[in-house]
Amino acid sequence: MLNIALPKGRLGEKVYGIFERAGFGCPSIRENSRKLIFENEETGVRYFWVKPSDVPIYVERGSADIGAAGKDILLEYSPDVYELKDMHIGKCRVCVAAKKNFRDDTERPLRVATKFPNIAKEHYRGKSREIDIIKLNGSIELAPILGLSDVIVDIVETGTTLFENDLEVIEEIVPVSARIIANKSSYKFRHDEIEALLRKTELGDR
Amino acid sequence: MTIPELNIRSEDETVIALKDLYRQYGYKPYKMSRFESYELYAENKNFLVSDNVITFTDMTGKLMALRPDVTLSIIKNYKPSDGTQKLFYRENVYRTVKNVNDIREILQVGLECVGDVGLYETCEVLLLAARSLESISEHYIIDISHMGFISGLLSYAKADDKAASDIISCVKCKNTHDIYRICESSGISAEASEKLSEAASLWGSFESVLPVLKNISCCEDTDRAVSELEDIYRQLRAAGCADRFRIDMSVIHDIDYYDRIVFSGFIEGIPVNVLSGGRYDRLLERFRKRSNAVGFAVYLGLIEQYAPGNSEDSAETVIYYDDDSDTERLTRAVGDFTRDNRSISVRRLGKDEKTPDICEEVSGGGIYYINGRELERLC
Repeated sequence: MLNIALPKGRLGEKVYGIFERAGFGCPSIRENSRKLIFENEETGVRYFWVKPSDVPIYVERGSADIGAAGKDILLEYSPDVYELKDMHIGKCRVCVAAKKNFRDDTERPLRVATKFPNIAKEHYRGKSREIDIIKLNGSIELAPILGLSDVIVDIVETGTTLFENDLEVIEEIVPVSARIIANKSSYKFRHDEIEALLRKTELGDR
Repeated sequence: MTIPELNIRSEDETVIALKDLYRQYGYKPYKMSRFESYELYAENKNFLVSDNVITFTDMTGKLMALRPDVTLSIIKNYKPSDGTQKLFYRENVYRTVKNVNDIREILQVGLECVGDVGLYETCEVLLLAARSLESISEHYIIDISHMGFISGLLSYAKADDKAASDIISCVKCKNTHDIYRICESSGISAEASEKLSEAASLWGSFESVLPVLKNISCCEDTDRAVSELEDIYRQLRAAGCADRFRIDMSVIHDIDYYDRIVFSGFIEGIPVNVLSGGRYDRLLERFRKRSNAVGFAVYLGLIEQYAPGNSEDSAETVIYYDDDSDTERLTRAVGDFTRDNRSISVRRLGKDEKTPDICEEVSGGGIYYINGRELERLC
């Protein structure tokens, strides 16, 4: 039985759809229930929904053999896993955004509000810019509006939320899409099953 | 991960088995202090598995460290005039845990062969790596790679330092899609990019992967790496353990220390690698010692951490007693059973507690109750 961790939400549902079309469906997952684990003995797969940022943890620690995670999560947590496929879905960008007409005062550290402190630190380390990280867990866009931070580092999909709050992208850090990741040990001992699943999903990787 | 029936030996049994194994091949035990001067690690930070070193000042004000690694201490003390040294150790190392502000003490057993190291010595160490894992579980695999192959490909691709470092990060996680992207944005040719990506995705037996590596090979460095892997394959086949090895170019250790074969061992059911090793001639060069070295470490602490524990009572015989039992009778019964080499578990019953009716709890030896002065067999 191949254990697959899916991120709760729209992205996870899209990924499940791809697996289902490839012949790895699990009908009970579509039922409206409070179950957390869904298994199909015939196709040899067991799915479970987890918080998106927890997918790499389940995979790294081997509770899941494979999983689907956004590149943003992988860059932030640097899990020790294989990143086997780019699924080319859930595309967005990690960007630096600020209030319109923002000018960086280089005489003092830049205050950066973000859910992704490691990505932000890495980005500004590359520019040798001293920063003050403000770790937030949601509604990041509020921070510059209320003067909590100078800029934010966050996911931008269409830019509508930024626009509606008088913010704009001032820099793109990295493009993001969903990736299939695998536990390193599972990859050795469940190699044929994992490769068969990847082949059948026919996910272009370029 | 669906864990098979894990039949993993306990830590204590494994340590004894490994020590016997290494002694059998002429390796001598090496004991060292728990502390080292911090300087040793500060100068060789990239050799260490974990970034942070736990430090403290000693009575003279010198900055010391709780040992995060054993190999550096052995190499520091090695004198080339001593000739080839074959050493093994059983030591605790101290490391910080990634993403958690926590310190771990990890039991590590390993060996080092330092001095005049040729093909035989390298393969002897690989064989001992295989046999080390075999002594823990029969379900194991060792991935082997050659640092010269990937570094040769990177030179062929004329990758600058930044691109090379980014590509290496991708190779380590078999991320072929981003290798293409980095190559494209760094002006690396499509042909070199294809070779790097193919090398990163390879995983399989010597027979299946060596011909592919030969096809990818494109310069002297990569040819030399393939030729060395072929030699190793022949030796491992002669030793009867080649089928336990898989070629996997994603096994990459720090290039400043390792320039030839590197390897990493896995046990089914344990989600992380439990063995790591390689040929680290460059470390000796940094110590200005004209010698070669190859070795590995088995992270027994990690195996203990991840292997499912056996919480069931493993005693063959269980003896219950309560306030009305004669304790002298109990002591005599315990003496009789242990003299017969049976393992026993003595359990005291609380005031309102009764002896259990479940008999399948104990295999073989039976369940007894000290009823007053009598030893009563319950089942």
